[in-house]
Amino acid sequence: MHAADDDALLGAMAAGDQEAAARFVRRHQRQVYGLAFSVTGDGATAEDVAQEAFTRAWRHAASFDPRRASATTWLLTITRNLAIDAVRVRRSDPADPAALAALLGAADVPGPAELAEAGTDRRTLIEALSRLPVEQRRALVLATIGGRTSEEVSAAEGIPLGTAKTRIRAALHRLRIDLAQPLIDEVDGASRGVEEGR
Amino acid sequence: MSPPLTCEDARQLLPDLALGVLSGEQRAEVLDHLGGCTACEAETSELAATADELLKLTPRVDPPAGFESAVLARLAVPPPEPARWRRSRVLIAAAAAAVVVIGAVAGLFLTTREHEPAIDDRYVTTIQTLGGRDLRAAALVSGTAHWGQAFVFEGKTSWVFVSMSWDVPDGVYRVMLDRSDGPSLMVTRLRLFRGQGSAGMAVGDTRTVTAVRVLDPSGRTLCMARMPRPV
Repeated sequence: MHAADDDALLGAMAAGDQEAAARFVRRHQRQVYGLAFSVTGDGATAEDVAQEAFTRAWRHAASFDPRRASATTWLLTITRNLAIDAVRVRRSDPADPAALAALLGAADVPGPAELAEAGTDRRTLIEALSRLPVEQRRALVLATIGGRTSEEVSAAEGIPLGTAKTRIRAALHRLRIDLAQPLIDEVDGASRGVEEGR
Repeated sequence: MSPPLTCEDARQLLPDLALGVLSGEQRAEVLDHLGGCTACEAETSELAATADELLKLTPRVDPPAGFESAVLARLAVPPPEPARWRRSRVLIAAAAAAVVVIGAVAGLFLTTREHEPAIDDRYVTTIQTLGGRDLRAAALVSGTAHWGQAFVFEGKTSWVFVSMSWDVPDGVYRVMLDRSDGPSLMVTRLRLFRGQGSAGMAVGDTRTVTAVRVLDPSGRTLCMARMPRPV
């Protein structure tokens, strides 16, 4: 239901509906700002990035294709790319790993409102992530939500570059297989499951 | 020019590519490899999809007071038309030779206005070396949306260069030239990953080019740059 609402909002935004844009911003601003802050580690830069992300979403709402990704994923991917650019261009220091770890820790215990909002999708991700070896999990979180390169993960974790790459790659592969499994089970069992996350 | 990557080399870089943090030069090398390797391309797509899913775990943080109204104020303003395309990764990813030329010629025009003789001389020398007779540039647009930039250079070697950025589905696109003296001409393919990519191609005569178009995989015109008349 939530995803369908987002699709409808983006459709209205593509037609220039500013009220739809306002609802879209209200719905996603905490997550967009949170991601921008996770990558940049700086409040002012994160605010710039988050504002620009919504501006891009507004301008390019017509290009959003719900068959390719959810609106949330689309918006967060835009945010993440902008945040990575901001860190690179402004040469500001990326977020401190400890702060990232703390942020991830906070994400592990979402409040009732967040659980209701994100539903099983988010819980499934958290569970899949928690099944990774801790060193792979750290490397992957730094590389995804933290927007770090392999070199930066290597430096932050004090491990050789090759090890950092191996950890990120292994974690991504393992997570991909893990996340694919529930969908297969649900498709086999009933027609209900896949649509739930849409 | 470094040798093409093997699958083994490329696979070391696929996670960074999927995560969008690969450096420009390596990114270009890997994308070149993906163009001829469906296995690595499929792996990249799967890795990218998994990485994107993880973004949903982003912790929610309250933005500063006034954030919402600031965003809405920006949305109320019509989008500016001037080039807002992303400099960093787009330019880094561009084909090195073409960027050198573009930078040189663009620099010529910019610095000419600023009257810095020493720099002007350097660019003039560069242009003379290239036999440059004309350089035209125009934004690739669709409606009011700015998708990228197209360059057309007429010189000893004449070429067309296209750079695209942002919010276009991944895939292989085609770059088409509209000409005043004949039918449209497909000059090169443009591979986009994460909505970004660039491509250049030497062509015979660019002075008859009236527009540069980018076609999506179905053949539909995605965006167009109407080129100014040649000098």
